[in-house]
Amino acid sequence: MTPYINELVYITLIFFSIATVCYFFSSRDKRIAKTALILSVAGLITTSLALIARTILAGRLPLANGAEFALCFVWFTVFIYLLYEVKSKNKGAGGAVMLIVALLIATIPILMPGQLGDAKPLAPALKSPWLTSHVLTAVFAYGGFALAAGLAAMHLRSSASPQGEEWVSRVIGISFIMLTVTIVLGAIWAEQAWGKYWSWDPKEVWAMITWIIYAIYLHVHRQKFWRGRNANILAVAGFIIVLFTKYGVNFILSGLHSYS
Amino acid sequence: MNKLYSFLSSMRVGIFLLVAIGVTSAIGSSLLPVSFYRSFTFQLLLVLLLINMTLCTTNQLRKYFRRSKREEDRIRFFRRIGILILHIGIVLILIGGVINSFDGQSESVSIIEGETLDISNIVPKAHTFKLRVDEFIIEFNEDESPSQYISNVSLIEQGKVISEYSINVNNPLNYGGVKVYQSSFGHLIDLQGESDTGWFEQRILQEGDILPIKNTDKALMAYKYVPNYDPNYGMNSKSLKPDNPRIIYSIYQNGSLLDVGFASFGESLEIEPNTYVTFNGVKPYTGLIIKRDPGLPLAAAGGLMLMIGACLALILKAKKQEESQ
Repeated sequence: MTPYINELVYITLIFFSIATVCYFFSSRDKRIAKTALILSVAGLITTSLALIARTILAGRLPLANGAEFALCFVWFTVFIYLLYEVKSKNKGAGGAVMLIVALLIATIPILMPGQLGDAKPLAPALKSPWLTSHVLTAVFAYGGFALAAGLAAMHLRSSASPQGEEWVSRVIGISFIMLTVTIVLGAIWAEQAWGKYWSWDPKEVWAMITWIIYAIYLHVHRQKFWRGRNANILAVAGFIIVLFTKYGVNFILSGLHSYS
Repeated sequence: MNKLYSFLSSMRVGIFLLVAIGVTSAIGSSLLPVSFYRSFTFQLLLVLLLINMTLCTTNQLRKYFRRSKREEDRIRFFRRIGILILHIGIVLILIGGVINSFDGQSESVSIIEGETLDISNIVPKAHTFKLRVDEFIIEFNEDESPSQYISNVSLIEQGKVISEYSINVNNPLNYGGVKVYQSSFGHLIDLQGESDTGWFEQRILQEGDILPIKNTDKALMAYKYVPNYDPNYGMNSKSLKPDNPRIIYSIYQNGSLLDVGFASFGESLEIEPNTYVTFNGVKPYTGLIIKRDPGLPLAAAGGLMLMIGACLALILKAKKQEESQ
């Protein structure tokens, strides 16, 4: 399986791309809706296989480099989206969420080619028990924010029910806890490895900006002015900042946090 | 006075400050040097946030104690406590940062194997002890990439070695309120020059330092140490493993470059007839960061409270929503 890791990524990309199209047309026909769901599940399975292959190849959990993180990010986003779809019986956010994960998968061969294939050992700075918890909580937070952005985008296209709104704020609430834990664990780790729990490194700064945006969302969400459209715009804007923290910081800015 | 107080303690001002900090740090991270975060303007924003959040949180605490006599439902009660803990946590982190910026120290030092460092010279306020670097080692993976950087040190107090410690990346020494981190490394170049006119000089140079050749108009620059020389990699080392060490040198005459070459250890270069320079070898040095942060316990407590508070506040929020549905 390990020699086919890049092929698995391409197959996943195809699944999620077609799923995106199917979800956008799913309101027309029940069969299209069913195909969309099947393709999403298939994409989740191929993502899982790629993660297993990577674990075998690297001989450790796939939580260290940028491509590994992108795969985990996608896996978790699709997983919680499917939970949401089953629980809420609402397919409206599927198109937006599948578009997000398809684009995330596409960044692996475009921006980080070769990262899944090489079996380089970890750099000394990454050899820490904090790696697993810091990255897993980040995956959890980012995945949640992706789902929240997908739901908010759906509400922006068609008017939302109050229950739909509650889903967005609930998902953001839980993801915000995870982001808080990610940042604090990262600070504890930085204190051990770099000698400073906070050094205004671009990754830290942008994680803080992400945290601030969602903190503002949680503060203003109770007020009427911020219900509905404005709150949803904030949820989508927050996710754009998440993507910048993941990609922009690594490919545009430079800093200590150069592994992922 | 009252107006100023209610202005400074309002949540609106708090959110405005958060936005201002977010926007300025976004600009700072992409366009400005890191020193921006130590500039007066940015620090002022952080201090204003600290004041705002302290006032806002104490207000909430007061309200809370006034109200708690009445019976409230338990979920709401614990959620309020969570929100308070979260905000107190952020205030503590900011206070910890203020204490560190006034009273903390962090210095980088380079020490050659065998040298002893007096900690009180570097961080004067700390507990006095000395640190001797016994050995600096790079451990390698199978593919010759570095797997760990290790400085083996001895702690010396009142002239006696009291313990030995292995400092490596992710594993600092923590003693007497001082932390010592593995941060970088390098090599000094040991060389000697001699001629039949009786000139003999042994020097230990840093990379890039120049040795003037006595009684001539020439000079030699010990440009760089290459631990594993391979012609395919040019002036870069194939790996950090010292399998094929070379010194890259250049020779100047009256300031203009004459020659560049790769010399192995023990090889004598004839600069002028009967005038030689020989590279004896290299001396590794380790780069350590010596740090004292009296604000750290407060910031750590704040970080813990931030996590616990966020969990309480937001999980119970979800519960409250479920019940109200």
